[in-house]
Amino acid sequence: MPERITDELLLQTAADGDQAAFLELYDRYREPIFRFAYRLLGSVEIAEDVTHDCFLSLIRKPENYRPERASLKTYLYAAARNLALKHFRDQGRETGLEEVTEEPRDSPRRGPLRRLLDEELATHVKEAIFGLPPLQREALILFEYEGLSLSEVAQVAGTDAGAIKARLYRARQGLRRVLRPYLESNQELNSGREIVTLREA
Amino acid sequence: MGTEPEEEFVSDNELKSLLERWVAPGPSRVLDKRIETSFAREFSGADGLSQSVLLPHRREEVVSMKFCSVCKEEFADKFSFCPVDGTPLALISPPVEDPSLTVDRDPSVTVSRDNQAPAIQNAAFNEERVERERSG
Repeated sequence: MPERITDELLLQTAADGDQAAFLELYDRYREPIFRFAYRLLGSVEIAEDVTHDCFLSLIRKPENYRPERASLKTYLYAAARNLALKHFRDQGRETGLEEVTEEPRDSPRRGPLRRLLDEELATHVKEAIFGLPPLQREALILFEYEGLSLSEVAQVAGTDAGAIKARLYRARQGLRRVLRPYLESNQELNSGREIVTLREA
Repeated sequence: MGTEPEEEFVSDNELKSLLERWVAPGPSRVLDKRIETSFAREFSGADGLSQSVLLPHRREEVVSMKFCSVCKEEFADKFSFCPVDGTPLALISPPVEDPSLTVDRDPSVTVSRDNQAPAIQNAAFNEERVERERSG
């Protein structure tokens, strides 16, 4: 089985103009970087711009990446974060995201409307996350959705693990408060699915 | 950091399960193609420009104009006939070797003759007019 070429070697080769090496690097990290940018910004178009510029900056200034300080993946997340912040600044907005801090309306939906309920749940989860303060939001996205460790999230955000832990705690508290009605209906939905599965069996 | 009584009923796993409901889309093939093109441009040495939106380098476009032989005015390339008198417009080829004639293009703006280099443009227009007269 051939050994996997390291990110560092690929970057070095790509910076010398090797397109195949660059595309291999891009292929390794395009999805997580795009996903992160999308969840941070809430727009596919802007997330694609950020992803594009993130990878382009990598070959324009490869010397900015220091392997001894962080993995390339962490470095790319940090670059995407900075580009997202730049986008917010250019737009003249503090957060750039819709403020959705109101308590969601209680809307118990059941049975045949399951798909609708799934979509509604996804929308409310998205809105609840966008309602979080930006620093809590990015910590939550990196930790919960991208699976980064506390220290990795801290590296991306340029702070220490303790601060990230506190941000995560507050983010979860905020989400619990806002999403409580949906947590209950989600549990009902899941128990309904179990009944259906048992009946089918 | 204490937990409020009502939050005790919501475990981390339950919250995680709810968060998983929000699924992010994947990057499009358009982005893949864009990345590929940008990389090629970076190393082609042709112009060193990219399609970057957030990074400082922006692509410049060469303005292509048309000229009305009756009212002697220039109009944007999108016009085939003079909006003033209806005369068919002649294309003025942009002299690409002169970098002073490139501007950041705003499609909503029609560049007036005063903003151009008259000597070069008049020469181009004269050649165009001679050709048109020859062809009848």
